[in-house]
Amino acid sequence: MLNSLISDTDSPRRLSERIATCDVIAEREIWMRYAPGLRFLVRRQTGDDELAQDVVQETFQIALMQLREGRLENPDALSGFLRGIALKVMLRMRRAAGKEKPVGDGSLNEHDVADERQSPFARTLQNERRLLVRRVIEELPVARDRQMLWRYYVTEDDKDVICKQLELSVDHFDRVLHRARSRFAVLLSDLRTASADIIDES
Amino acid sequence: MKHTTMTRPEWPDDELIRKYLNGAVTPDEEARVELRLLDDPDFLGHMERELALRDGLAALSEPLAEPHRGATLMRVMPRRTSRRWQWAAAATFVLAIGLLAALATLKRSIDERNALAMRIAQLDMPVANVPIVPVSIMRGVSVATELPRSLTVLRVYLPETTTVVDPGKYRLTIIQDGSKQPAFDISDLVAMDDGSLSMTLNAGKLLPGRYVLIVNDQPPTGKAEVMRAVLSVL
Repeated sequence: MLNSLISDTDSPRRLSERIATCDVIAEREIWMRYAPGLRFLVRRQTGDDELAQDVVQETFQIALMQLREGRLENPDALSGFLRGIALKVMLRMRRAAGKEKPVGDGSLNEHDVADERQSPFARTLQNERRLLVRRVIEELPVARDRQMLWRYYVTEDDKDVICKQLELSVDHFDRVLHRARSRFAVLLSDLRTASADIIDES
Repeated sequence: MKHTTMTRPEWPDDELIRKYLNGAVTPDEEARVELRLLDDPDFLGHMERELALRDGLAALSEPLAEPHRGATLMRVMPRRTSRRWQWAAAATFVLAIGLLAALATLKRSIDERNALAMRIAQLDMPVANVPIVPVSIMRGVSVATELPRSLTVLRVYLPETTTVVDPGKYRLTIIQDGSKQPAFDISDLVAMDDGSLSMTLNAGKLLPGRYVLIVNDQPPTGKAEVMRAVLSVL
């Protein structure tokens, strides 16, 4: 019910003004609008889902308090304001948890660290996504296209180098990349729909 | 049958996105990307898919929780992120030690990369280096479906009575009228969600005439004929 009351059209300035008047719908709206992006950027930097959740929660507690007090000088820069708080909170939490690693520490594999910090739900989700990626790869009938994707995403070769070494035109490269991305988007969307159906049924 | 079409999203900052995901951006670039992540839900969705695609590809070597169509798992090169620069620094150091040693290292690196590229190419799908552009969509009908000679990809829709969610594989054979040898024979095809089988087929290499297309269900689900259709190559 609440969702139906949420408007996406309010500008950051208007949203900030509404929060300053203790509008609870606006508080819900700012969460819906900005929390996914904040979670993504914290998760990317830490590889830790639970930490990302905690950081986002605390970020909004601080932000809402400051917005209610009208302490945001430039309400148009709401996203920068939220990001700034999130980065500070993340740094503090990581320090507190003793998880701050020195730059260049190669003692642990990045994947291993990320996997260890994931919740069972996140691991399941990641497994499903990996299956979808495999499916996308298997559906590419041309070996060279699979090589292309691999080198683009995993070995991080430059596009020009890949095109030259695999004798691909830039158009072909873009086409294969677009097709893989589109197919993956469809599969992900189907997965989300199926998950939602299961949740609805249960 | 479900058909999904998507408009192509334009992401002019493709390289920046890649740098961001690889942890190779400057603080200014990082801020630019992250502010857009907060302000643009479509951009966020794109980034999430890109990250999932990259991680999914990198993890193809890792064991999965559930088996998937017997595909071969391969050990692949570990993902490189910001440590890429460390490797570059290491390579520079090696160069300083001696040109010969550096050349040997470089050659080994290239060999490893080529070997890696070959291994990813060995997934159990048919291989044909034909550019994919035109697509012919054909349904199981009795009238002959004309194949243009420029056709390079054939998409065959299985009859709706076929259980397309069946994880089994299919074999597709195309035989010219009056001939006993198949002009085209391909196995291990997996049906897509919309009930179609896709394959590369260079129609320009087929002789003009009428052909019969047969799709069979492969073991272990059985050898039943799933569909039969008539093709015509002019």
